[in-house]
Amino acid sequence: MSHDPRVPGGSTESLEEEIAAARLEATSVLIVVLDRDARILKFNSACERATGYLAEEMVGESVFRLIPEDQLHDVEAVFRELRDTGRSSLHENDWLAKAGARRRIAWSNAAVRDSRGSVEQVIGTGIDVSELHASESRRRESELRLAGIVASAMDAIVTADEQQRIVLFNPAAEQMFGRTSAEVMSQPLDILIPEQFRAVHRAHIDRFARSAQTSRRMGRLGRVQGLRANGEEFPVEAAISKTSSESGTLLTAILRDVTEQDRAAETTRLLASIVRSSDDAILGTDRDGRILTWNPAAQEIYGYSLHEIEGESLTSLVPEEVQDALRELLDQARQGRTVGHVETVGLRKDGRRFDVSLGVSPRRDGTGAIAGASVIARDVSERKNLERRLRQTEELAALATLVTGIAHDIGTPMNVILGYTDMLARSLRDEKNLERIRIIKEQVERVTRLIQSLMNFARPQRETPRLLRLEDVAERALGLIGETARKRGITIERAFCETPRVRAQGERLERAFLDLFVNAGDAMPQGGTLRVATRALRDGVEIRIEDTGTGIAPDSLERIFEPFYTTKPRGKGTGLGLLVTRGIVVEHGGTIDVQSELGKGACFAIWLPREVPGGARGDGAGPD
Amino acid sequence: MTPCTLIVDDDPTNAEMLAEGLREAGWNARAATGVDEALSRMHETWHSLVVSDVRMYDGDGFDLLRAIRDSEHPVPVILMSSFGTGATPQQALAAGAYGYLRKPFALGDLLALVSRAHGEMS
Repeated sequence: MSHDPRVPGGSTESLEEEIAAARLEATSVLIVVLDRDARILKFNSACERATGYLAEEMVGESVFRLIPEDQLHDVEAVFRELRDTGRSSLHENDWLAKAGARRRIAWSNAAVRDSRGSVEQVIGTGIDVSELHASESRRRESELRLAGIVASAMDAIVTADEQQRIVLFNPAAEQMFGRTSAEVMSQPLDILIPEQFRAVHRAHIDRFARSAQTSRRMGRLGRVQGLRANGEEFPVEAAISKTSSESGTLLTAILRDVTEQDRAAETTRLLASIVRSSDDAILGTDRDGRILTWNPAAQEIYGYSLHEIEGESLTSLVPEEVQDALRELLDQARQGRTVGHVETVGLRKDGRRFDVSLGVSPRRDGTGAIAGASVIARDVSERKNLERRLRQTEELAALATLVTGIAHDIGTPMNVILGYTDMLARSLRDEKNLERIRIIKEQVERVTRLIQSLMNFARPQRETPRLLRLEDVAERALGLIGETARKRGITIERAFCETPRVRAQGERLERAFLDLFVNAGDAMPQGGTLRVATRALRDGVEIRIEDTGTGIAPDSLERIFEPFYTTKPRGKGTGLGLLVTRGIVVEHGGTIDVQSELGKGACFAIWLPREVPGGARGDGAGPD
Repeated sequence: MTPCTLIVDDDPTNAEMLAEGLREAGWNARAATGVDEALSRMHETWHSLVVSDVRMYDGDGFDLLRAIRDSEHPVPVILMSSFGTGATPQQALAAGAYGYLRKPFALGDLLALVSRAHGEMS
């Protein structure tokens, strides 16, 4: 090699070498030259670009610095092999770039021998295949992943070619249709579809295959029917997608057997419609007894809308005295026990009470844990009222028979007593004996009055029912006690509404009211307030007669409608007044209820239907 | 003819008491203890007035009333009854009774009715 005058410093490199070096720099091919100890002699710009290291940094360094730990062993072996044998080789390994990333390089290695024939240098020429490698490995990975998904999918996956021949049938599909993949391979899709749907489905799929759409949910387009190997048809929800490649279009359907869902949905719909159309209030609560659901009957019975009652405690649907008992029922439900047919008292939004039969059972969530309670409430007030009225009517009928007999048998002996007493009186002159006679007569009169009361009750003088307003009747009765009330310091309060007229026997009703007014007055010897209120209800009218008197003891409260039961002083009350009153109310098809607290007064509520059952009774016909 | 009242009641004590009461007040009066006895007494003797119970063991005061009313010589009939017989003053008057008394009644009430009836007759 001669000295080149153009190169100062006496470079020994030839022009060819310079050109070669320039080429080496310009190429995208990585070129690295190593000595026998794998130290880098040359590191071209492609190497710099791939690794981020500059040639100055790398020349003189071992090439193994660039090799990741996990590949070092293999790469050293490749280097030794080449150095010791001089045989060219191809291999791929990673280089660690300065920033830490791996670059994948495909190498073609060659040995440079010295004059003695031993390997002096190793030249590696490489191509950075990182990008290629990454996309390839991604593709392979994604294929593997897809295959895994297809194989393990819960949904059936069926792929067909353009001729609608099956090319893929996953295990879930095998199970769904009862056919093996081998059995259906290359078979038309038709074998999976009931005959009557085949034409439609085929057209449908054809249209989709030709369309520009790539996927579509078929479930929304109506239920697709599937056909199992055993001939059973079943509902399927399907999604279909399309992939086009050089080899043609593939259609993939993902199918879900919705027999169970259908059944469950049907059950749910059925249950929902039962709940909606039930005459019973059906409601759900959370664990704390707060109301979550509320059917239309609940609204009808209790008067609250869901909006008004949602989140409120179940106990707000019963009067205070029943709340503890209801909490007890809820406790039972929380402990997983069902309690049914508990007859108690319900409370409507307007404050009215009613007889209710409650069933409380645990409500479970999807996992079976107790999430609250389900409550079924039936308004049994009508039945209860009917039972009560029937019982009362029967009682009254039996009593009437008894009373009539007694009255008849008492009348004549009383007549004899009275007659002889009169005769005696005529013959007596001394005052003392005349006074005795007077007392006898007075006592006979007392017995007579008692019989009169009994007879009024047992054989009432019926009137012809007329349409009348409760307020007018009450006003007439109030007029009769007005003076007495004033003298006793009793204030009369009226809370009258424009109630609809009822068909009733005015005088009998007046008598009933009067009896209650008199009782109220008797309960307020020190004065007080008598409040008479009327109001219209859905099915009738109500009159409430309230006093602020002594009240009725709880044990008496149960007995006040019994014949001959009285709390008045001996000789004052007959024990028949309330019985007669109740008789009159019952006669009108109504009910009478009483509430009282000792020392706070009493409240009698009379409810009368708008039309008396058999309201024509007595109309036009005379007394019987 | 001397006026004479016939008291009819299947309770002899009452019938006797009423007859006695009338006699003490100066009227002629006899007692009969049933419908049959009353009819035979009336057949034997003329009575100016009949006071009869309604419900008796052998018949009804209303039947007696009708029999007398339909006879050749009708006389006034006063009906009396206890509570519970179903008879009302209106029914008695409608059937043609001269008066009606509900047991128990004061002797004075009967005397007043009897004297009025006889007063109208004379």
